[in-house]
Amino acid sequence: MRQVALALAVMLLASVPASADERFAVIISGVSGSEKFAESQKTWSDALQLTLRTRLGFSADRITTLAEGAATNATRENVARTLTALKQRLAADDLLLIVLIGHGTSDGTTSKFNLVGPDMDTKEWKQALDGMPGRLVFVNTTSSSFQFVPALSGRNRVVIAATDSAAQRYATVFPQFFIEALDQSAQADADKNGRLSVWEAFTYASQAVKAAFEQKGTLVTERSIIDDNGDGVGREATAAAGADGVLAKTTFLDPEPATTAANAAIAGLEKQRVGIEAEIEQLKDRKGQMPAGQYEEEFERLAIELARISAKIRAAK
Amino acid sequence: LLAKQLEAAGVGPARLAPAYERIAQLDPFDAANHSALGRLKMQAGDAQTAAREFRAAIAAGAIDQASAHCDLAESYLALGDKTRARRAVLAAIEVAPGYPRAQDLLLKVVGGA
Repeated sequence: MRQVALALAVMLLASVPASADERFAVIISGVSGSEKFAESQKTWSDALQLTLRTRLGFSADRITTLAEGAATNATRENVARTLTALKQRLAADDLLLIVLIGHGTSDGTTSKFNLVGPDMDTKEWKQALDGMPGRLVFVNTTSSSFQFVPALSGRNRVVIAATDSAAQRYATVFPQFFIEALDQSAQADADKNGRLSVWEAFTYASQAVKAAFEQKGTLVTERSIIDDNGDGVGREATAAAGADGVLAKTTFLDPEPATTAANAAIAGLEKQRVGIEAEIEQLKDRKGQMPAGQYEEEFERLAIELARISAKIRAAK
Repeated sequence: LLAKQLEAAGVGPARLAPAYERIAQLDPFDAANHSALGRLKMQAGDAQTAAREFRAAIAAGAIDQASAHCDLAESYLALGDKTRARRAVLAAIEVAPGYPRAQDLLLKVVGGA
């Protein structure tokens, strides 16, 4: 029965052509090992599915879930079939979000994600994802996940791991907060532009994990990292600005908002708004190289200008 | 968690505030708790205490920094301290230039709205 269900799911994935800018998700909840973990994995997996559909507007037929004991079990064969089918379906400007929930192991040189039956190591994941069209956001929320970053890093890819060293091999809480970030997108939307970027979800989850350990008063046993420039070197959310982050900050998990340029007057104001926002970003970049007073004066002038134009846009809509 | 459960159960601000205050004593680094307590104090008209709690939320590393600075700006505005309100709202805009709440607040502070 399960094989029939998977075959139907794969046929569906392969047969319906995707149009541009579509968003797909694969949730893989691996072997749990105990009732306690089975319960938390199911809770997270169900919550993620619901959030993707209801909060982020993913179509139900573009979300594939492989889970221990589910109609489509989380086995390596099913992972391979699902990814192969998606390679046929995705277009170059589509987005694929893959989230791994469960347990991982590492021998120091390679990591595995624990599936039902034989596991898949980082090399096998790399092979399975090679040739996947579109932008890939790969989130391994498990213990010992850090080696997925160098293994899967590449052009047009954002790779996130819940841990950053072999020593971080304990059950993680990162999935709870990553899903919370997607669900509470208004709070996670740090720049308040009304959209949730992968960077914002990652930053929210990283900070929430840190706060959770601080509240418990225990040593932090997981530090999440991200790589999006293809160099295979991950960075933490709180690290000084570095090479990573550019792609993740411009990769959004929610749908593209409808264009508002139908009205010429609004379009003109929108153009001004974008220009001022760019000026603000340039000014912020120069902050350390100019006197504080001069920066504050210039920033306030631009902020007031931006606020006035934004108010006009909101009033005109 | 307890405070959230009480809030969800419809417990009013007068009974909620002591719960948040107790949590703040037990865990002074819980930024979300300071923010929640600050909002309750604002509702109760105690902007002075609200401002203290909002400052604590920012110092404790509130995840949503833009909202935290806006909360603080609103409390300063309620106290009639436009200079500090202006500084706080500009800090919010520095984090989130397109945040409508911060923009409206800025216009209110500078007299443009």
